[in-house]
Amino acid sequence: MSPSEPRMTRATLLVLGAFMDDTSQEVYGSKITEAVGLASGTIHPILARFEALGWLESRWEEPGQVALGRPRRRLYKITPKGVVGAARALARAETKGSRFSSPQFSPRLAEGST
Amino acid sequence: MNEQRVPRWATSVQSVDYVTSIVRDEVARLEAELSLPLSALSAVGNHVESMRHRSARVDSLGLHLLPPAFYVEHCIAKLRAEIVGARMVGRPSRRLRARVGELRELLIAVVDITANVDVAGELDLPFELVSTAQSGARSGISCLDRISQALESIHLPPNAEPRSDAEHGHPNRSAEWMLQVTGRILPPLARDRYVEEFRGELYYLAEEGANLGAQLAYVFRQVGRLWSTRRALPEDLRYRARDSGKVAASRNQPAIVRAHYFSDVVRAYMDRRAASAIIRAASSNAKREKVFRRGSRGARSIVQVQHGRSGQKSSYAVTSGRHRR
Repeated sequence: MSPSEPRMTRATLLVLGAFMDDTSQEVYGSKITEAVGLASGTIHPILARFEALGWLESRWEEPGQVALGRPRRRLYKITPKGVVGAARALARAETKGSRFSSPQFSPRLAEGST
Repeated sequence: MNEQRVPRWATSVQSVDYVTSIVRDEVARLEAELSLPLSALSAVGNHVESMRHRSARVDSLGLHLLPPAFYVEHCIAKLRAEIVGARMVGRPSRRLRARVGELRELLIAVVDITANVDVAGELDLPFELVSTAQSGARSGISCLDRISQALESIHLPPNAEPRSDAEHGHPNRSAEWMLQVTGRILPPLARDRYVEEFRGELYYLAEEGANLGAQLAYVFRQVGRLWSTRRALPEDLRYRARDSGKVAASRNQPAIVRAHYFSDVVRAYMDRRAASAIIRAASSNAKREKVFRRGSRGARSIVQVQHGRSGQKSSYAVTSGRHRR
């Protein structure tokens, strides 16, 4: 594992799998939580780590999308660097034949997530 | 089609219960009615797959677009699971609607293809097989329409009780307050962002109908992982200061700080433009951010500038007295 790559846990790989399902999609934390079926608190440290590595980028949703009286949501998207890194990490997990290679591994993000 | 609407006299809670029972019944009926047609669809699908390798005509007629029976079954299972775990307080779950929509599209595709193409003739299959799949898909669509109609009818009748905050999509105030307070675990630069992000998700939960317990559970889970989130932040967010920031240094001795992290802040501090600054002290307790303010008994001035080999300022020494947060 290169130093620029985080430790790949099951949760980490699940999150990457969710982003790799549709690399152009922008999703917010709750959607990812739903898609991968992890507890809500586990997602944000992972997202922060990937963001720090440049694998993910994030932005606030447009003011137009913000409903009245609701805080903005943070939308995350995988970067080209992240796609390469994630593909490599997922492939490595697959070849290891580990417990990660389950159908759950590429969870589908629900429609209308942005 | 049977009109299955929420009675006008129903309260909001009664309307949700009523619709949930309708939807459960309809899904059970859908499963029963599609049991045989899905077997037929599976047989047709298998034949299409075997014929595709032999004849390009199968693709040209669009028969390969027939939805696979196993996927339709999978969608029904997901729909059932969604209803079992549905939180339809205040309004139907959006995911439930999405599942219904997806399944309806699949069944419409079955009806369209079997109605427009002579599937039995083209594939040399018994006509009954195709007609069973088609008629089953039609009754499935009717079931789904009834489900959609029932979901649409979740509304507040004119004489309904006023809705709670959760039904309006507002989270509980205690949960929101707790997020605001515990967000202080995060460093100042990242705090506002993450607190707003968490609040946004709390609103999402409330919109989905999560009750106080679920909202507090969300908050506790977030709080439990705030230190992990903090550790995962990039270095500059963890330690770099805002211009309006504060000073951090080691306790009783001049602290060596890394200039390249804080050059802007230190410059502002030295020019006396900023009342205070945050500096990461490269001392034994470097990881602790201690807050000093000018004029307090904290860091009062930068007394020493060390130059690196290239002549650039590489570090600063900061005097510090007793620290104060």
